[in-house]
Amino acid sequence: MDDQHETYKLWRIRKTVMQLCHDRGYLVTQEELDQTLDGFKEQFGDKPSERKPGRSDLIVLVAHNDDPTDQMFVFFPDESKVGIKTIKTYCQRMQEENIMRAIIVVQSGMTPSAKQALVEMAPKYILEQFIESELLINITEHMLVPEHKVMTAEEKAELLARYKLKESQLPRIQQGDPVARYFGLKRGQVVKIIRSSGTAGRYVSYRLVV
Amino acid sequence: MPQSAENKVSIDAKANKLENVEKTLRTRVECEERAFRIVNKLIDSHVEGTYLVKCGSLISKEHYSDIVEERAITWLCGYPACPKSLGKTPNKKYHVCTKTNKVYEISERKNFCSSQCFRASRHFSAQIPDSPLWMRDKEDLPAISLLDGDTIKGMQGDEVIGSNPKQIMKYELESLEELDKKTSTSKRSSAGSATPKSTKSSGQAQRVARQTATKSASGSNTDGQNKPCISDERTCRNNYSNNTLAECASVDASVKSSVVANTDLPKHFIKDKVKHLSEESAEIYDECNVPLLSLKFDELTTKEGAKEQLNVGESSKEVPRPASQHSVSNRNPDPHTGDTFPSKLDHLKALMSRRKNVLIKMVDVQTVEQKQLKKDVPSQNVQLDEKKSSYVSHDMGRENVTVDKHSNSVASYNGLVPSSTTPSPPAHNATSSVPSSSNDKKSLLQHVCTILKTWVTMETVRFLTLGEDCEAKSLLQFSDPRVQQGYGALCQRLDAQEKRMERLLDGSLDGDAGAERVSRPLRPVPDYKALREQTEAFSLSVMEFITGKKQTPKSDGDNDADKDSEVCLPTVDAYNQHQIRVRIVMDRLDKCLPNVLLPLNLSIQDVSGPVRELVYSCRLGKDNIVLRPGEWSLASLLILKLLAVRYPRIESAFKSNMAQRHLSALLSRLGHDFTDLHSFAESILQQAQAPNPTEND
Repeated sequence: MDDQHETYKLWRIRKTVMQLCHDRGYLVTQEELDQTLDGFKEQFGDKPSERKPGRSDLIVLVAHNDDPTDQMFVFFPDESKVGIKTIKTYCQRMQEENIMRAIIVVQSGMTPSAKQALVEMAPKYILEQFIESELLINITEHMLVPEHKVMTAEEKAELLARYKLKESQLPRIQQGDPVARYFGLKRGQVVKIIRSSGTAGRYVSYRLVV
Repeated sequence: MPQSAENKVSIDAKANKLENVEKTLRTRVECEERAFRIVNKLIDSHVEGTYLVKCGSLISKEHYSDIVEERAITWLCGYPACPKSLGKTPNKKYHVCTKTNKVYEISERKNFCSSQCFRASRHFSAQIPDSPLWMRDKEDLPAISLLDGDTIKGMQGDEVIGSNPKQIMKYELESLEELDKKTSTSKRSSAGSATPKSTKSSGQAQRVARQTATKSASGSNTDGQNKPCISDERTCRNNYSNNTLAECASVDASVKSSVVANTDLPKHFIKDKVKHLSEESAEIYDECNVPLLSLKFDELTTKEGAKEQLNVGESSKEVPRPASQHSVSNRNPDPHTGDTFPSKLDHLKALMSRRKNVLIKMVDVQTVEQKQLKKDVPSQNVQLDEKKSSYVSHDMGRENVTVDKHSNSVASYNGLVPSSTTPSPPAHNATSSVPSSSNDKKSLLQHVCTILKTWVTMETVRFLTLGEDCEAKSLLQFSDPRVQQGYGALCQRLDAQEKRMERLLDGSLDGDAGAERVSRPLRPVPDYKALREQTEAFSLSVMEFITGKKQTPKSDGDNDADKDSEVCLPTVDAYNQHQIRVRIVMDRLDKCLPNVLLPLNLSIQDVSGPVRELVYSCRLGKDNIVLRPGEWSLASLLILKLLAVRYPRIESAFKSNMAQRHLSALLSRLGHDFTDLHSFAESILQQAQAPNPTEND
């Protein structure tokens, strides 16, 4: 029973992670996106308690669509609470493989010092942390969450030029916003938010990440 | 140019400021970084205790808790000084210890290899300073000590539900003791209520004993205090003026003195005292009172009058001297009696024994009701005193003369009334003095005041000052001041006892009684028995003494008290006499009060109770209750003024505008003003406080 539940959870998490990677523009096969629970069990096993699969087996490495050198790791640490040591091992691995981005999906949280370590590595290595429960569902598919599109630097420049705006004149969105975290937005990026409106049909707004 | 210079200065100042800010920020960041490094180091490996102590001053508590957590994550014991690794940790959050009957929260404990490490870690973290890291170098930090992991007793975890068996036992014991106390108290109280007679009689016996002791002491000390120092009576007597003040104080002391102190006065002591007294009284006669005892009453009374006048006019400091004078003169009857009757000693002894006898009888006759008891005491005393006065009838006649003289001399001192009034029989006394005072309006109030002074007793004062309701109903007429005071003390002590008993019943004790309560429950029954035995032994000894010494007193009095001399039962008549007097006084006052109360804006209901109680506490004589109608209203005014001491309502009534205007108008007609009323009232009280037996002689 526990195993079944756990397997289901892992499947959901992995599926969401794949969607996330896809939405961020990383190359994920359709097969992986559409993976069913049975497929997941087939691939990894259905006994998480016996480390079949162990969390570390779920590790994902994806490459970006546009720039194949821009790769991203998704780590699934085995410890329920991630300490600084785990972070260090991941860091080492990233350094070895020369990968700048990584997502750490933790079970219950991180120690404060581990978080501090993430911050210290920030400019060079970008590590984001998600808690498993955050990834059980894909929040962007929720009916109340409007469609977000991350704009490229050119699009942003065009937008500002078109409306003769300064950056600061745009509405804002926080970096810690769940959707912003989902897309891994950095400060200064702009998202195009398209929501359906009763009067206008479609209402588009732009938000600057702060 | 100057502007640019100014700019430059300001820029410099700004730069300086920025620099400073940057500096402080850098130091802060440095501190944080150092702390982070330390944390990293402590997480990675096990360190020596000394290094840990050094680190303690460079990290914060949060850092340390991080360290513990991180180490635990990497399966190291959370305590940095412990090299062991964590074994298998339980999944549960709580641990129930069957040994100590406690529930522990072990989520923190799970980070450590052992309870000892947990405790040591707790000890260490408690010592890490709370101040910010960058402030640490500016303050001196307390040295951090470490617990030796091997020797200390470990901690299982945070206690959630603790139940210390010892504590439980203690609580149970306490509750049991409480229960015991309660039951014993109720038992005692029920015993007290079920056999009131026995308790009361024992109390009475005590009182008798005390009374006798008091009397015997009073023989030497003149004023009727049971002064503790008996050995130097002589000196006491020789230094009257010095002593009286002390004795005044010792009235209070004796009133407050504990029960035990007085109960164990031995029988032979009393005997001795009586003998002593009789011998001494003869000596007194020779020693100091010769001129006063020469039966030149005119001299005496004028002197007293003068003193009295002084007393009225002057401050309370002057009180002892006149009082001492009075007390000297108070002695007169006894030696005088000695003169009149050849067997003075025998007679005195007889008197004493009779008194004792009466008191003993009182014990037996005691009624259960407290109020009745209170009324009985004075009645018997009155009777007793009357008996005495009947024995010394000759003396009594003089007494009245003295009173008469006294009042007259007061008047004469004012130079308003012819000074000499022939000594007249008591019946005419008041009438003779009234016209003399009525001659002048000014002396009217004074006259009333003087009469009121003869009324007031210690009980009155106590009633007024202490404000005890059931207090001061005893009334002593023409009694020896010694007896009065002894009685006062006794009554008060009894009252205190009863109150204590009541409080005991209520279960709310405080002060000395509280202490008693603490000590008693330990051995309640023996204590009570002992007390009873003691009192029984006492009454027995007193009885023996009395029967042994008993003599048929020489009686030439016409009182019916004489008939009772064999039985020594209190007469109803004596009591009735006082009752009648009280009724007369109350009747008169009731007539006058409405007129007096009108300007004071008080109703008769407000004051009737207090007035009644006050009058009951007064010493009413057959000659000092005869007043004229106008004088009665003045008397009622003064009584109200006296009551104002105790009842704030009456006091405020006196302070009201209308009352002041009305009263000052009234008094100005008499040649006084409003403040005089106050001073008169005070002098009355003072007179009672500094015992003044003039009116008894």
